[in-house]
Amino acid sequence: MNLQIVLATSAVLFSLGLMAAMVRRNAIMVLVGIELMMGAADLNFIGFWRFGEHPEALTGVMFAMFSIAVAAAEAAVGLAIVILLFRQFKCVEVDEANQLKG
Amino acid sequence: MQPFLSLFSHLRALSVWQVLALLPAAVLILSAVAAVVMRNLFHCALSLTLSFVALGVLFMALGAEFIGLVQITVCVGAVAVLIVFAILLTHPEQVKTGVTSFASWHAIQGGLAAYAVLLALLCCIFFSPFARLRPGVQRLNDRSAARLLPLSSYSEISSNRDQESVSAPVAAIGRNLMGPYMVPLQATGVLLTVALVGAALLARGKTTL
Repeated sequence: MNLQIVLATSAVLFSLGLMAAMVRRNAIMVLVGIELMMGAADLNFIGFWRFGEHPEALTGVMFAMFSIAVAAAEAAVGLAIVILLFRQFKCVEVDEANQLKG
Repeated sequence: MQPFLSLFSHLRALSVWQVLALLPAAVLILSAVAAVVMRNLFHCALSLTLSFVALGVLFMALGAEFIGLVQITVCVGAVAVLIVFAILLTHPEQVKTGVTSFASWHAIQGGLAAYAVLLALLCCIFFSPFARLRPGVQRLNDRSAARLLPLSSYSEISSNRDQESVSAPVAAIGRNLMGPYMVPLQATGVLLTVALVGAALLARGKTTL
C-alpha cells in the first residue's frame, strides 16, 4: 500500500461517481454518485495524511472528519429535494424537471 | 511504461499481509461499479452501502481507525438508510424500473467524459513529476532539489513508512477538536442543524415554494 495505489483507487472511485452523476437519469442515483465522489475526496485526505510529511499533525484526519459531516448534511438536503421533486413532478427523473428551461 | 513496471515490481515484492491490505480497495472498487451500473435502484443502494463499509475498512487499514468508524457510522448508519428511505418514498411501484438505457447518446457522452477524467487523473498520478518526488525529502517548489528520483526509491520510502506505525490516536483527535479546531467544530454543528431543519422543511409537503 503506497500513496499511488491509494490515489489510483480514489481516482477510479471519483470517476465512477462522476459517471453515476452524469449517466443515470434518476435523481437518487445522481446523489449516489455525489456520495461516491465525496468518498474519493476523503480517501485522498487520508492517503495524503498517511504518506505525507507530518502525519503527527493529523490535518488530513481532521479535514476528512469535517468532510464526512458535510457529506451527511448534503445527503439529507439532497434527498429532501428529491422528495420535493417527486411531489412536484410525480417522478424523480432529472430530465423531467425542466420548467426553468428556456 | 516504466512507472507502471516499477509499480508492478513493487506489488510483487509485497508480502501476503500487504496484499491482503489491498482487499478493501478491491471490494470498494467492485461495489462502486455495481452501485453505478446496476439497474435495480435498491441493489444500487445496497452496493453503495457495501462500498461505504469497504471505504471505512480502507481508512482503518491506512491507520485512521477513528475516521473509519465515523465513516461506517455516518455513511452506513445514516446516509444509506436515507437513500433507501428516499427510494421507498419516491416510487415504490417503480423500484424495478429505475432503468437507464446505457446506449443513449446522453449516456455515452457522460461515460466518455468520466473516462477522460479517469485517464487524466491516472496520468497525473503515474506519469507527472509529482509521482517521482520523494515525500518529505523534496518540496514541489524547491528549485535546488529539482532532481527527480525514480519511483522505485519513492516506493522504498513508502514501504519504510509502512513499517512505522502511523496512527491517529483518538485522544489526539479529541484534543485537536477541543483546541485548534474548535471553531470549525461549532460551525459544523450549526451547519448540521440548519441542514436538517431545512431538509425537514423542504420535505414537509404543505410548504409553498
